[in-house]
Amino acid sequence: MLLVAIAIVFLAACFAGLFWRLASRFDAQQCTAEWLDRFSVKSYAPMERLLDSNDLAFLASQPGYRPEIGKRLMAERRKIFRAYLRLLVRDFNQLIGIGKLMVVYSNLDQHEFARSLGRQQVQFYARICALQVQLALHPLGWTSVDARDLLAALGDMRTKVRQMTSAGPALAQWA
Amino acid sequence: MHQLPIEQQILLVVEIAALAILCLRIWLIGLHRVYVYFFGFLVLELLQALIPVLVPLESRLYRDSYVASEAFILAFFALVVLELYSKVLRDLPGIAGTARRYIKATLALAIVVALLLLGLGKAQATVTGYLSSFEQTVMSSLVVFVLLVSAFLVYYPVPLARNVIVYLMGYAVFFLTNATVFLTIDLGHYWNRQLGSIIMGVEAVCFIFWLLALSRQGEYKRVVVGHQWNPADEQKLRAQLDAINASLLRAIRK
Repeated sequence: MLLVAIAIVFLAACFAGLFWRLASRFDAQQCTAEWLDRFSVKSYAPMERLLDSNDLAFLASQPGYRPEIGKRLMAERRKIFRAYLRLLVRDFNQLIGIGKLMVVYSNLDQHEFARSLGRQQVQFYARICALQVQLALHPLGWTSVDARDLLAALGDMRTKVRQMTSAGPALAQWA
Repeated sequence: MHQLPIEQQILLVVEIAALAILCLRIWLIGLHRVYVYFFGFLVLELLQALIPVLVPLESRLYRDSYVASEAFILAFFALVVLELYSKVLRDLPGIAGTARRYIKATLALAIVVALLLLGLGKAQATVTGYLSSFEQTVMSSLVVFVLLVSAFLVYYPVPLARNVIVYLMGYAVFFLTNATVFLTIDLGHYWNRQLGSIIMGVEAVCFIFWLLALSRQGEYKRVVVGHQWNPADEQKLRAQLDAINASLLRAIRK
């Protein structure tokens, strides 16, 4: 009976959360053409080098180097990397949002595209989680923090959204 | 009616009044043509609520009338939910295939969950015992169905009329309460008076909520970003979507 009560409370909480989200829907007004024109995966290129151990090795070879300097440098770089990561997730979500808008308002059934969007989203978030774990282990000596997969996923998403536009007619007429 | 506990008598009066006014309101604002099965469900609920007023509670006629009306109402629950989602997703060809597949999977999962819960129960070998088990199965499957399809509507930016969200909220509370009560009975806790009062109380609240929240304007007001949709926003969104489209086509041609 206790398990049933817990399940009911959990379901009620799920419903409450869903209805709150339904009442505060996705902001289509943020998905502007200007944003899409400005968007470029290249702006995230610095992420590929930020945590590169070669920089630390070079610094260590310099006279007057102390380990504290290296630690402080990498801590600051991790902070910058995390900031980039937040922006990257935001931009990815924005692209997903545009993709979903196109699915909803398309004249043709976009089942394959919708499925691909969902798959990419799951894979992207899984990579983000893995990267966060790697970042957490970085101070302990974990050196292979690699953002290239994520940047490739972002580029893929941008390409898919483009392909969707080129594959079919323009967006649905609003009834 | 004089055989019901006092709190249930009061709740019954409130429920009958709320249902009658709600049916009248839905009729007057024309929503009975839009949500045919929902209106039918309300009329059936009103007729069922009148049974204890007209028929002695201890009689066989009461039991048979209740069981028969409850069977119809259960069928209408399913129709009402399917009617709502078919209206929401009707004019969106882009999402039709995805929605169809998702709803099939959701239905299958809802049935599996309901049957698993059925396995937990210890139904009494009486007509009302079997009805209770059947109701618990139907209600549990509807709870899961409404939950998962609501999640679908949250994931995709499907434009929703305000009335749709009002219906969904009412259904969620209605089905969750009924499923909980029937599951409790099925698990062998025959707290009939308390559970009966809970069901009647929650149903009365749902009817009053629908009475206050449903409106003709609610069919046209689209909920986007927590503010009311208006034609100017609609034009702006169309223009933005067209501009996004054009921007992507320019990028491809480069």
